[in-house]
Amino acid sequence: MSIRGRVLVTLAALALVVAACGEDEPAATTAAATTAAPTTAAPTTTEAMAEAMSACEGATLSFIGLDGEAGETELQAWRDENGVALETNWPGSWPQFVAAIKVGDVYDLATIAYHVGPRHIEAGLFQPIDTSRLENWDKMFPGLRENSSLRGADGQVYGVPIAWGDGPYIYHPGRVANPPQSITELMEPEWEGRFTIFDSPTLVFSMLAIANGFDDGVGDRTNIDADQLEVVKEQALQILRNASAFANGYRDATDIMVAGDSDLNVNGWEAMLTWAEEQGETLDFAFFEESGGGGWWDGLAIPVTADDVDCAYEYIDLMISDEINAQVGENLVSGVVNSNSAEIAGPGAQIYDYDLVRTDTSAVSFRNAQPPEDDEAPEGITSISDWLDAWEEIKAEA
Amino acid sequence: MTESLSRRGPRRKRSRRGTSGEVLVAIDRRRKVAAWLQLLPGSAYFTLLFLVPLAGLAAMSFFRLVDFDPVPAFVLSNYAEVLTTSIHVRLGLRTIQVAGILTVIVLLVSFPCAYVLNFVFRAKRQLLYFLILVSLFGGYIVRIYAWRSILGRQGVINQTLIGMGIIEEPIRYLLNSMFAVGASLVNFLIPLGVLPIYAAMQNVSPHVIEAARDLGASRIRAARQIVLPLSMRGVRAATAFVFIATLGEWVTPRLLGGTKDLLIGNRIEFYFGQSLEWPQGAALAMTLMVAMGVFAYIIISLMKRLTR
Amino acid sequence: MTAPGWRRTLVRLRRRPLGSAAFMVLVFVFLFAPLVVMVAFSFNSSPRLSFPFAGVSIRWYQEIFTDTLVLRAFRRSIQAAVVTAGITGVLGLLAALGILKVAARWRTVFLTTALGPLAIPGLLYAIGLAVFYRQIGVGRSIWSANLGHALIALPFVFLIIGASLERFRFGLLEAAQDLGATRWYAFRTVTLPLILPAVIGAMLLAAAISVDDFVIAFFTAGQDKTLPLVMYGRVLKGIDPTLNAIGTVMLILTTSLAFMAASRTTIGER
Repeated sequence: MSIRGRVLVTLAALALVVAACGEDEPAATTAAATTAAPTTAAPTTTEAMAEAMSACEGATLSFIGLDGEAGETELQAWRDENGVALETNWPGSWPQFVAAIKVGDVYDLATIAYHVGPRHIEAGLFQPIDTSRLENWDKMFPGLRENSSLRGADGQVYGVPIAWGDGPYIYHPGRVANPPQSITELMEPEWEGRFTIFDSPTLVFSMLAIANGFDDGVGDRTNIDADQLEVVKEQALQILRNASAFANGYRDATDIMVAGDSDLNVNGWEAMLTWAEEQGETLDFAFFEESGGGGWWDGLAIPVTADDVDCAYEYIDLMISDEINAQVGENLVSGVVNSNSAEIAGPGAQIYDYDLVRTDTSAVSFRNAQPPEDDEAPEGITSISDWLDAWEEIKAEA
Repeated sequence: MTESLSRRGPRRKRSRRGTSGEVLVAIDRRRKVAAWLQLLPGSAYFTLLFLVPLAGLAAMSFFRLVDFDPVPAFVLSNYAEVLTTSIHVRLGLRTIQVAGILTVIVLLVSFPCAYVLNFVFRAKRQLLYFLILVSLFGGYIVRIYAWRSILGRQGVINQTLIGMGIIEEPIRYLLNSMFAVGASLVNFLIPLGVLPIYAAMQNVSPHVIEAARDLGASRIRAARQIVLPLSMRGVRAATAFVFIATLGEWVTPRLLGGTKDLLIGNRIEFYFGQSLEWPQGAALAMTLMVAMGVFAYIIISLMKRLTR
Repeated sequence: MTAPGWRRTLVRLRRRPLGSAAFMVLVFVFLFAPLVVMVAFSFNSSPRLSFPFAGVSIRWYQEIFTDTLVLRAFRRSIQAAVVTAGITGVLGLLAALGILKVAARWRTVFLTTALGPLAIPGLLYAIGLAVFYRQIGVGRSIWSANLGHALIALPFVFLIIGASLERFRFGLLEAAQDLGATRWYAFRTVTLPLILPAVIGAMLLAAAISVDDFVIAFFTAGQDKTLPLVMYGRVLKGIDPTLNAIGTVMLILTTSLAFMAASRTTIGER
């Protein structure tokens, strides 16, 4: 091997680039710090403008959570008006979501989703919400407002729903001639390798508990004892063995179905039909008889690390205001949470049956199907840890 | 021309003995001081940005969990829990098995690759080496997703086979299977395998192979009996690479595997995200690291014995 | 090594490379399969990620190149790559020089310890680093992420350097000095050419690792979002062709970065 001065030239060149980049940095950070330029002109709402005199003037709100659930488009006009910047972050998965708040990163707003919400509340990710500070709180459907799943063990509210839906399963009608009636049908050999499932025991276990008659599907919490859990576990293992893969979210489940790699997704969302349509594929939804119209809601919470709590309250209040929430419902193909919004929302939000949430007794559709928390479980009844352990065991066994 | 580590030592000593004198001792001392000074920035960097943060996590594996918050303490129960769970035994064995198979595959491809690069297409070796490294780029997540388009029922492979009339129904088990996980991991690990083997192979002179061939050895025999022992350090590094990468992997099983293909790495994800038991998660991670070290050591020792 | 016998030897070894060529083609087809798919789908006019192809279109590129978020992230990723490579290069070169001179047992200790970061799941290290930064009051920025990137690149540096030490002929150095060569001359003509390819190779990998990394950047870069952060933000919306377009841009970025360095040093050398 001979020596080449070129090697040194390269090093020098690289060093120069490094130096140049170093000088460039102040410009880069300035650009990053400035408010993102509006890319689309969202419809302005007079109502939002009226509330503009606010704690938020010139603020920067940092949000961690699901894309599209922070009023990115719905409150664009309001933010421009008030010079508010919104920083959105999706950490890639719920574990990393938890980790991000747990390590103390500052976020003013966060997504709270009904299925992970209770765990996240209990883990101390969020601060309690003083609902008297939300002008639009009382307009919320009682079925959502009074629901126990947005409350912590201390009875305080920790999350404000912004959208909701029922719990169908989604299937490909071209490849599924006879949509299943019961989740237990998925244990049959004919379903082997044909459906995706989410990596969470709650819904599958609670539906199986109902199918076996261990639980009546009414009221919060699924209370089953250890023997019953064994039965449920055995059936869930069979279902898990038949499932082709874990879906990593609704969009992922849709893409897998569109690509032809599954025919059905246990626990779905009507928005999946729209997404599939965009890719030229027709999907349909139906309900397992055990699902009992089991619903979901997604909302906003204020992390314990929040910096600008006043602005966070105002932002949440706007998200559940009449016109904005109607837009949220339409954009997310979800039910609206504000009873006034239901009147003015577009077709995407109109496929939902609002009678389900009109009274607080109808909250049954949002029953928190999770088992009791560890310290709340009555004698002989299995708790969330038991369920999670059981699920992990069958995952390892499958 | 070719020197192995074992031969280098004595030769150096001999030269030193031959040129004694106080001046040389002084030079030697100065060189040693310089050496430690040169090693200082890297060591300091490594200590501050790796050992210190890691010590924090190691400490956490002895913490107690109170209301989901890790509280400083010294308890061994986290390790007790982690080590006695049947889930870990099962997933651990599965992971080790997968890591072992992947190691064999990666070595079987990487070694010939490095050999061909270094001895057959020597003129083009830098370009080829460069291309192999380039295949690592493009974004981890997008590359993983790309395998779905390749292995899916309407993917490249199935559609090609159907188009050629070889199969009628798509092969279902290409995707959402350990096969898919393995394919993606091997794809990512081959460049990392070629890297150290190729680097180590630079110290094998083509003349040696030439001599062996002249003496009637086949190409394969020459590679196995001459090149392999001389580039063993690279092979060992590649083995360690594959093992470590597989034992820490959790995204690929998630995105490409089926419900039956989770690995031990997915358990760490579980502790840190779903069950929120960080101390247990830290304990499992620490256990894994030790296990990795032990297994890598065993395999490498075995390899040493087999090749010497 | 520059003996005239080289060329003759190579000609002899190259005599029947057909089998080798076929093997390399297969390997390359496999290695580049996901990248080909990624690039191909980035030009697909339909948002669908399965076959058949709908048509060719550059709409996804138009989309990302008019997206200020992506453009800013793009610039940050370039910066991160260069800075990470720089840190790695300086640390790696110094360490390589130092490690040549220490006793063999210390050499083993250093090279083995440096492999540590490979044994840690990225998420764990990222959490550890984030907690550590907070405790010492270092803010979250692209620079914080760069330090982490350089750290996870260190094992590669040491692996490559360690392997190249195998062929380092210590005798040469002493011989050169015995023959009256100045320290600097000996360094320039003997030591540097032997370890520089390894260091540059490590720098390239460091750059690629930095461009590719998600988890460390997520916990330490804050709002200085790099391309992978922007990509992950979109993954939940489904993997759409803009992600393939971003991936393709990243591929071009990392490849040209690597080519830039490599072409000046080793490619084309006979």
